[in-house]
This record gives sequence, structure tokens and C-alpha cells, in this order.
Amino acid sequence: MTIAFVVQRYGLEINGGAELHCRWVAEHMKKYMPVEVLTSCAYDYITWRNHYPEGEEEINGIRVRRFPVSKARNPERFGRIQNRILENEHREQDELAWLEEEGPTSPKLIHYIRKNRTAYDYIIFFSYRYYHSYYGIQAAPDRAILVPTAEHDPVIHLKIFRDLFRMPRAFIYNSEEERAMIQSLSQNEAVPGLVVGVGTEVPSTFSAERFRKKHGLDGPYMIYIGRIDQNKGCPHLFDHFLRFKRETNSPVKLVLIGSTVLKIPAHPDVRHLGFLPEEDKFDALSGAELLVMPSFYESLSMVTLEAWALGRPVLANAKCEVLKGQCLRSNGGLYYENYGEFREALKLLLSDERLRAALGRNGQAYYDTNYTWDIVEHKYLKIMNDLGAAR
Amino acid sequence: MDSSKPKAAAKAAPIEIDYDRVNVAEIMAGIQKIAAEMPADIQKPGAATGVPLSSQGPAPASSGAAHSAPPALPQTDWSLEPQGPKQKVKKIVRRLMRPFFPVIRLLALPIHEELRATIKSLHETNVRLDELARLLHHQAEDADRKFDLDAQRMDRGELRLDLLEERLKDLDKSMEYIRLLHNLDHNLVVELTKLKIETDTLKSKVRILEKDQEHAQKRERALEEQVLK
Repeated sequence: MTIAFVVQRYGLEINGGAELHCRWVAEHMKKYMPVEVLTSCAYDYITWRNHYPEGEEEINGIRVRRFPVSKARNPERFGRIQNRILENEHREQDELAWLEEEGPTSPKLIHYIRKNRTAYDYIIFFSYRYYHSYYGIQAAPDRAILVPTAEHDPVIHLKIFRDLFRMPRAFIYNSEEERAMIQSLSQNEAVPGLVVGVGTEVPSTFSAERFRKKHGLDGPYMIYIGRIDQNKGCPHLFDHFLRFKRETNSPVKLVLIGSTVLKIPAHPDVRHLGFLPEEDKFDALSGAELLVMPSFYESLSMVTLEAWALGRPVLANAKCEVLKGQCLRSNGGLYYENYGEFREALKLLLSDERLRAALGRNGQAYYDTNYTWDIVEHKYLKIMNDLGAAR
Repeated sequence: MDSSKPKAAAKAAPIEIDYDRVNVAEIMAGIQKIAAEMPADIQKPGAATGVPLSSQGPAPASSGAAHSAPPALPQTDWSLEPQGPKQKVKKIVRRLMRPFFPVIRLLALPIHEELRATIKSLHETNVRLDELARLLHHQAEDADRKFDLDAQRMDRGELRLDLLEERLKDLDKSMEYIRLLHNLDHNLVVELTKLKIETDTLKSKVRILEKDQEHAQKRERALEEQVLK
């Protein structure tokens, strides 16, 4: 059995959620069967400009075939087209024009899939909303498996995706909420699907003390890890945190790890450390009182799973259904919908060490039951075996 | 500022947690209950002078409506309240005089001025209406003229259309005539071809007859020679 993974970007230096998810799954599945990756030459997810050379290369033992992007994305024009289709009545052609503009537009990749589809038993597409998935699944629907990595953002309501969600052989969802959302939108209950998610690479050793020493941190701190931008709910987090500090005089600090596109508030207890290596990230996470996850749109949140893998509790934005659902299923974190709930939940978490420990234990148990690599790999194998048996 | 803290802390206590079997849904229900009660706490006396929740600098949008409500002081009523014996007397006099206010207004205001103002206003309205009527009349006349011109143009256009129709009919006739000529041409060519073939056939027959005659003459001469011998 040979499988191919199709993803918008691929590389060791690419840290985007779906791309990293794809790479990790591909690297774990290679021990069971030959694995190839089909991707674009893009590195930058804003413009999709060709960065890597076209052709084949090997990354961590996996053959990667790169295809050029024929048209770089113009973010301004893309924004205009997106606003037009989201705010006005439109035709299917308009949605397809939006998809062309969104990219990464690589007709050569689609041509390759169409011509060589019989060389692969299954072709696993990551991220439903991009060009490669929409046209790639149509090129090989009989062997397509879709990992939609769908969030509750407005484009999921486009008509072209409703049809797309009925096309692949099977789905691999990241969460129960994602499955419910896609099924309610497209009524694709007939298409088999399994909630799988992704494992995480937890280093064998990590040290909170090392992190505190390296960055000169003392006292309790809560941590946010990820891109610091509007969609991740960071402005709300800053507002809530500063207000919490003013009202409670709590000594807690907010440590931010990740690249930023926002202005970070100038406050002595808000520490932005930028992008850190994996080792430092796990050191930081292990020493945190809790992980705060203010994002509105998540299809899984790998960093939440990492926090639970280390036994740390989570405080999540309840407006993201996936995060709230994960907290409720795992009993590993609290959530908030407004400042009042943020204040009370944070106050409770900071003041009650036993609760933090209990939530951390529950999160860890949830992670061990659902998201260790062994379990994730076997779920992937199961869905492929089930499809093979049904052929 | 500090007055709100112990209250919130005191309210956090009622959340009962079974640490061996933590139930997030139950904890959240408790937290939501406390959070829902929070605005009431802040509106209590003393809280308004504490943390200025409605003016939080970088977070003005997130402050709740209840937080930003001002202290419940009846400020507008307060400004009308009598403050001394003089105001009290004034208030009593005003209350006593209240039934006579319409009469006072009638006496105080000269009616003829009011009427004059009304008439003036009506006159101005009439003038404006006259002006509007005049303008309308002019516009109607312009429209009539334009209509007449348009009608004439249309008549001329119709005449042109009639002429064009006649020309089209002539053209149709010419085309029919040309078609007939074409057919005639064709038939003539066919007939000429037939005649040519017939001519060739007749010529061949003549040549054969000439040869037969030549042969007969030769035979005649030969027979004559034999007879004469």
C-alpha cells in the first residue's frame, strides 16, 4: 500500500498548524507503508510565492514532490474578492474565482494527481479550503481522504465546499465539533469519518527552572503559545489580563511565545519572548500555572494538547466550540465567554493548586487515551483498512 | 478597589470541587453564576469609587454596560429642587398660578400679531405657490413643444420607414428577377451543351456516310472495269 499526502506547504521550517500536522502524520506513517508528499514550492502562506525548487527531494526519509505555483496571491485583491463573496449574493463562478485567488494555484500538482492517481492507494488531502484540496479531490475522488482542519470561519459556508464535502472516500476529523459542523453544513453523514486529531512530540526532558533562569522569570505565570494576532483572540486576552491585574493585584505574569503582528501592551507583567525552539517551549509550558488559549477559531489546537501532555491545565475561550468541547470532554481545563468568567476562572485556577493539579491530571489522561502517536497511527490505519475492505 | 476583592473571593468559595473527580461543567456553572452576579457587586456604594471598571485604558470596549453605569444619583431632579425659602415661595406661587397660565399667555401675547404672522406666512406660501404654478406652466409648455417636435420627428421617421419598406420591396423584386435570370442562364447552358453534343454526333454520322459513299464509288468503278473487260 502506498499513500500520498497533499498539503499546501511542506518543510522542516514550516510551523503552520495543518502543515506541521501533515508532516508529523506523514513521518509517523512511513514505518507502515511507502509515503510520498505532494506539495507546492511555496513557503510564504500570504503570497504563496515559489521558494523551493520544483522537483523531488527527501525530507526526514520521505519523498517530497514539489510543484510550482503558477500565480502568486495578491493579498489586497484576495481581500476584496473575499469581502465581496461573503457580503453579497454571488454565483458559483465567483466562489471559484475566490478559490483561484486564494491558491496556492498549482495546476501542475493537480495534473500530476490526475495522471498518477493509480500509483497511490490513498491520497490524503490536508486543509479543505485551498486550491489543492478542491481540485485534487476532484481529480482522484475514489482514493481521496480529507483532513479538513476546518474552523468556524465564514468561508466554510461557501457552496463549493458543501459539494466538496460529499466527494472524498473518507474524512479524518480533528474533533467532534468539527465533524458536527461539517455534517450539518453538507449532510455528508454517508461519507465515513473518524475523529483522530494529531499526536505531539514531547521531549524526554524539560525543565521549568532552566526556562526561568534563561529568561529571568520569577513568580507564577500563565502562558500563551502561538501566533499573536487578532484571529487568535490576543487583543481580548490582553484586555482581560490587564484588567484582571488592576482589579486583583495578582502577581501572575503573562508569558507570550510566538511571532506577533500586534502591538504587545507595555506592562511589566506581560513578557513577550518571541519564537522559541521546541525545547524552550516545553520548558516554559512545564513551569506555567496554566496555558491560556484565547483563540476564536481552532480545529484542534495542538498547543492545548501539548499542555495536557505535560499535565498543565488550560483556560480556553468558550466562543471556540472545539476548545470548549475539549475542556468538557477531558475535564482538563476551564473556559470563559466574557471578562467576568475570565476573572473568576483565572482567580480560581491561580488560587487553587489542587484544582490545577487535578485538571492537569485529567488533561494528561485525555491526551494519553486519545492523542498519543500509537493511537493516532492506528486510527489512520483503521480507516484505510476499512476502506480497503469496502472496495 | 479592595472592597470588591474579598467579595469575589468570598463568592468563589461556594464552588464545591471534588478533586478526585473534577467536573468542569459543574465548576463552570459555579463560575458563571458568580460572574453573572458581578455587575451587581460593582454597582454597590463604595464600588463606584473603587476600581474604575468603565475606564480601563486599553480595554474600554470590553467593560460591561453595567460596569460603566454611573452612581444612581437623581441628578436632573436634584437640580430643580428648591434650595432655600425664596425658591420655596417661588415654587408655591408657580403652583398657585398654574391654572391661570393660558389666560396670562393670551393676555401677554398680542393676538393680531400672531394672526398677522400667520397671514404673512400664508401670503408667502401663496407667492411661492404662484411661482411654482408659473414654473409648472412654463415647463408644461416646454414639454408640449418638445412633444410636438418629437411627434413631427416621428412622422418624418415613419415616412422614411415607408420609403425604406418600398425600397425593400423593390429589392425583393430585383432579387427574384435575378434568380429567374440565373435559372434561365442555367437552362441555356444545358441546352447549348445538348446541341453541341448533337452537332458532334451528326458530324460523325456525315463522316461515316462520306466514307460509305467513297467505298461505293470505288466498288462502282471496279465493277465498271470488270463489265467493260
